[in-house]
Amino acid sequence: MLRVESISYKLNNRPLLKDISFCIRPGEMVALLGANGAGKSTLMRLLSGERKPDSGRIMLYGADIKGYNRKVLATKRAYLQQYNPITMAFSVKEIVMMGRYGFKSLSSAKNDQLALTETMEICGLTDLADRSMLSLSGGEQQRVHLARILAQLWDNKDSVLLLDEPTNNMDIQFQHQTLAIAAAMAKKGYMIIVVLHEVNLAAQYASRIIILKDGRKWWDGTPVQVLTPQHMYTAFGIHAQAYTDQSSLKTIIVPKEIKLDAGKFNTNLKTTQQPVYKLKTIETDELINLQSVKI
Amino acid sequence: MKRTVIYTCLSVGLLVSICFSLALGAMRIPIKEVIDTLTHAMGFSVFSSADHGINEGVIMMIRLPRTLMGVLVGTALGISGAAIQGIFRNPLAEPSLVGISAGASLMAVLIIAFETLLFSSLSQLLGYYLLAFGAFAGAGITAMLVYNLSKINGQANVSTMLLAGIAINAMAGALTGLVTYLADEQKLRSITFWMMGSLGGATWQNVSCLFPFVLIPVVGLPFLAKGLNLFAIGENQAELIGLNPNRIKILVVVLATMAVGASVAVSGIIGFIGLLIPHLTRLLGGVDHRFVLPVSALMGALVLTLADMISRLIVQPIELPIGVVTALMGTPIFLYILIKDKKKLVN
Amino acid sequence: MRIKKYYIVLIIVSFLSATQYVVAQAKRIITLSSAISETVNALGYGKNILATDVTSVWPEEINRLPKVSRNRSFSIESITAYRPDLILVPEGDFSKENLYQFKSLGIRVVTIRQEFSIQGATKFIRQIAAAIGDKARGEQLAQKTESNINTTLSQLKKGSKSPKVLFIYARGVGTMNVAGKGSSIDEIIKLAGGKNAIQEFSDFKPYTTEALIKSNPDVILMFDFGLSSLGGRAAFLDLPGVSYTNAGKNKKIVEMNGPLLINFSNRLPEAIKALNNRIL
Repeated sequence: MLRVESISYKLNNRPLLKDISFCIRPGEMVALLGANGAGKSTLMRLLSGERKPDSGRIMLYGADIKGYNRKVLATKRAYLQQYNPITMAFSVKEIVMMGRYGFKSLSSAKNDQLALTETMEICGLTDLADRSMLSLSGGEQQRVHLARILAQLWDNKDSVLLLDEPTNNMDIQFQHQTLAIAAAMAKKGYMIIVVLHEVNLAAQYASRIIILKDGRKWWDGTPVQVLTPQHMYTAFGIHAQAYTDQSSLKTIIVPKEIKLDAGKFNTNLKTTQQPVYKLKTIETDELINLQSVKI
Repeated sequence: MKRTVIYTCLSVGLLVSICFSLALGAMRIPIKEVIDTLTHAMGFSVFSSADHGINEGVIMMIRLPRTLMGVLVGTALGISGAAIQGIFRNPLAEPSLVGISAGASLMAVLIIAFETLLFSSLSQLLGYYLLAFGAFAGAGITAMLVYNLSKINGQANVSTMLLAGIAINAMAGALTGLVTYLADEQKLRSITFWMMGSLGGATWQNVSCLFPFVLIPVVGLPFLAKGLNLFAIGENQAELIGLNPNRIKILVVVLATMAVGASVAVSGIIGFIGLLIPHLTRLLGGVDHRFVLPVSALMGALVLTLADMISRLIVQPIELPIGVVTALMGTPIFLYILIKDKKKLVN
Repeated sequence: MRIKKYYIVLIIVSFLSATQYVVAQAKRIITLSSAISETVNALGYGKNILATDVTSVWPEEINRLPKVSRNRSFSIESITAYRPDLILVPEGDFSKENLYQFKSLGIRVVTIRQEFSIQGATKFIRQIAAAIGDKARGEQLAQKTESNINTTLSQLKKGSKSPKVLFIYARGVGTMNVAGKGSSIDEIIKLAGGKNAIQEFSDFKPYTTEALIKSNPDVILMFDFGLSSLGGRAAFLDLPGVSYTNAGKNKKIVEMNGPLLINFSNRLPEAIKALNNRIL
């Protein structure tokens, strides 16, 4: 049970989060959406306990997150950060194992090994186990960090998993795989909060969506309730249409193409005299003519 | 398995090089006498127990303390180099880069320059402790200063920290230069002698003074290995996993500066060991600090013992400053690593 | 515990050997400065010298001996390998640790502080003689040196006024120092009838072109190896500022043997005479 009670947060006198409240129950997977700078990552930081809210409080299983002992908190929440730069050539296995460091004294070596093997398997890392992190692509590295976070909470389903843009750099297969893992774990009782940019991924996998705008919570509900053309325009400034997939009953958002003329926003192109490139376009009947000539 | 082999090889190598270091030198002492003297000192004797006079003195009073000092200083520089690189999350970081060496040297120079003025009544041993503590304090203060300078919103920023380190280095270097300029000829000699780095001044007194300063970090730092591993992903990762990142940081800095400061105080500035040894260790068996820290200690001891042997034997009857040898040995290998791993190091 | 046992044994051994030294004359000597080597030679103990430092080059036969020290860099073991019973070294060249090491090996080290004056020269000779264990010979040499100095001083050439002499210690263009007050060079210039061009500071300080022009010396004095390290007379005269000084205008550049100039021992009269001849 995670209850956020009216939290606000300022950084250098600039309000980043204003009066946010919500409540998450075990088994829920919440997607956090919003434009750049809406406060999604800041909210994740506060939820993880890394930063403290200026006012309001965050209650995790009935106790203020501020009061938690570090070690206990580490067994109840894991946090995949957006940037995890790495400069030392740790192997994939070693990084995933780091998720278990806090538990060495609590759990048996067998459990650690099990968590290691299973998380690597599900994140598709088994073949990369001994590779150096520095030799991996960005998407592969992201999967390693995901596995590390999963390993941290592998034994405890009474916990909250905070994923800040977990699909960054991943190919389309692993974007889905990642969210599928999260959704499956939510079904087991974990609480999942995931920051996403891809609205359709959120619609497909999340049970609930919260949209932030300028540090405030604007909408909170099921994908069907929240993902409407009006909301899309208010939150992201795009025109979009919302459909419902007939077979899965999930919402699909189709944004309208934005059309721009470079001459309108690049004044250099307008003022300097540019040679006019005229592409010789071949019309269909012309093509037929050409072909017929050849024939 | 592989790591067991590495541990064994390094330990055997260290033992062998210690034996060579005791057996070789400008004095030609028959190996039998060397063994005899050493076993005799340990309470039994293999060969005759005849008195070997000055040869015995050379082994027990010159070579043995010198070899031990080499082992201790090498251990200290190796392990603290690895720890500092861990904290900075950068394999190019080195105690001298963070200002630790400069701070230690400044403090030691100040103590040497004003020793007779202020502490004329100190005994020899107390003098060593004063120098070691002074260098430790100087190293610690600069490290903390650099660290605090680089703090942004409670988080230490690595690039700022390195830049602050450069600034502190320049400052400490300038002050050291000023003190050496103001010191009289006599003092200047001992300061320059000390700045060149040498194990030639090893006596039982300063070795026994150095010992605790190396022992505590060598025992203590491996306990912080996990924390250092987490630092490699990000400073707050330690906290997210349930460890106290600030405690880790402070302990690592204190222990590393303790080792570096004390070794600078007894043997001067010996460069490249702290940079090179952790590199080689990682090449051998990976970057896990639970492996890197103890192996860097072992390898540091081995390499410094070898370097000292070279410095003693190569231009007999004079000896090269050991800093020259370590730089000559170190730079090519370092450049090789740099070229080879250029891309990796940059990100 | 065992180390302690060793300490005790060694202390006893070194104590015994130390008492022996007081009685016996030193037979195996290592001398670690040119002035010390020259003095030991002049006392007639040249054959007892086993090794010297790199600056000891006079008299000629001393060059046949091994050199065990260079720029205060030396190895305890290399020196010990000659099994000396006496090491004569200028004060400050051995660190506290080195002195302790030799002491624990039972090798007698005598550190000698050289004072740059006529009294200092005779004192130096007497100190070395005492260390070797032949005070009589020392007394003899000291008196002979003193009377030689007096004779030399009375025979010195006298100019209309004493010339201003600037001494430059050079080891290449990058490292040039000038001699200030109270240095060995300052004293020898005064004894030879000159006047040190530098009166503002003591000891040796880095050379600057402006200081050279400001001091405007009549004579510029250098060690022979110093001048050659700058590329010889012609190259030196071309250095910036040199041509603005009286010395530069009159091409009065004097080079002299280094060890002789700073000997301040038995060869002091010779040095005074030679320098006097060259600067006046």
